[in-house]
Amino acid sequence: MKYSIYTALLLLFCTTIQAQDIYTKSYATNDVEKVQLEFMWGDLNVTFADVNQVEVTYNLTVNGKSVTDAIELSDKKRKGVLKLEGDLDFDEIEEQITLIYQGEKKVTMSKDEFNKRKSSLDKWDMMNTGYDFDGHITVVLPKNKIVKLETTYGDIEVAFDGSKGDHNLSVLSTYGHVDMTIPASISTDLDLSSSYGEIYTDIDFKVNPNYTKRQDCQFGDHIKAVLNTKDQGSIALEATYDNIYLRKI
Amino acid sequence: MKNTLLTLIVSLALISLQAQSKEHKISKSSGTLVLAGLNDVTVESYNGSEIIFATDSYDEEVDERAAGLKLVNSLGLNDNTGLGLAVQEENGNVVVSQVSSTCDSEFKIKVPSGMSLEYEHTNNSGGDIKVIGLSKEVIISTTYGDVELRDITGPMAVKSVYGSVEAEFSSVSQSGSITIESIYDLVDITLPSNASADISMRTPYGEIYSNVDIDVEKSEGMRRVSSKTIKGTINGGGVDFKVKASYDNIYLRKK
Repeated sequence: MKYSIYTALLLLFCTTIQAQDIYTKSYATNDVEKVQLEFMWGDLNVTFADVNQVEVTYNLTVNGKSVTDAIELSDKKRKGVLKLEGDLDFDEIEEQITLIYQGEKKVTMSKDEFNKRKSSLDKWDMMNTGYDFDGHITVVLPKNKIVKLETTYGDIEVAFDGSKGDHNLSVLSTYGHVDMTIPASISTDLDLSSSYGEIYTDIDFKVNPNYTKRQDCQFGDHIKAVLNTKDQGSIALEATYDNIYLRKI
Repeated sequence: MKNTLLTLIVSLALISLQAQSKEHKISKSSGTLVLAGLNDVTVESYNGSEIIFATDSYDEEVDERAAGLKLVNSLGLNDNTGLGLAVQEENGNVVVSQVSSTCDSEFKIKVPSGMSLEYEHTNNSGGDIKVIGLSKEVIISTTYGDVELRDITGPMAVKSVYGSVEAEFSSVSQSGSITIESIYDLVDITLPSNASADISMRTPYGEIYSNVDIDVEKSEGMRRVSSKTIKGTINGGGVDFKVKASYDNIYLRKK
């Protein structure tokens, strides 16, 4: 998902991708049981491999320029948990001005350029100030850890092949969608919830008869279900303001 | 020439809109249509043998990411109509539940004239129902929605807690009782001039307005004028017809 961020308006508008730098970092996981990733900005794409590390790759442009210097990626290890938090320092990034003419034509320039040219520009209908953001975060995780993934403004896509015994995955996006692929043959407890979106799947699972929340358009949907045999692992997906897609491989 | 061109443009536009309205049909012409929690719905009777479900979708975006997937909800129901509805047959009845979680859904349902209707809605979004032309039993219970009944006959039991009830009868069936109630809003009923009923109207905190000739119950030759309950007969009496609006007015009109 591409974003355009305006200081005076709500976030999340589309933009274009231009030249990009890539920022990659790895974190050893031999000494932890749980990996917790929280990213404020950027779409997250997650796969699993037989590795003993977490590898994070940022692919990010703001206002058409690579901004690896603005990436803030912190890591903490405590009580068996590796926690990574990703954010952007917008103080390092110059805002841009977008002028809109007759609802369609857009002219974009830096704030400095706007201030220099303001008096000679044609009168605009609307002016937006902010950032055009396009961020993609690719993560490769080890297979045998408890995993918790969170984004605030990005989508999350996860491909899980279920190849390493019991699993415990929790995925949450506040404003983006969650799209996960799993084998239909694995056994897992499922917990799927969305407050303002829909839940889609092509997998046949049994809704838990001891937990049924009557669907209400104002309060979303929360499904607890079992795929094949219960208590063999856990997958929890939540997309607060968007949809959940659960697919079979 | 200009008129022809304008007509053509308008026709093409209308065809485009109609083409984007979605429908689902099932063969069924008897039993009860049970609508569980549908947000806003119009049910209209017709002389056919199919229940036809429709919703206007021309202003909806198609979710391409959901291609090949089905919509699910916490009741374990799947959208088997393509309209965000789950339709199942149970004990000779057709039970319809809303699977889509959007509050903006509006549905139009055409139902064969031999079918009865039950509608229940409890949450505080939607819940308006409009019923046209049904002559079999109608049972409606809605908490926040308004109820509009046109060209109906009864028998029926209709109740809204916070919404109004408006009912225009084409005739008053003598096959079963009629009860119409709103707790916090008005009830407005129109009867044909030849309707016959044993009528009872009650409003503890509202007023009763009527231009219908009611032969009011008398006790020892005297009619009671000091009560918020009116009991009597219309056209010599007939089916039990109870109307109640606890905190608002009752309007009883003749056509």
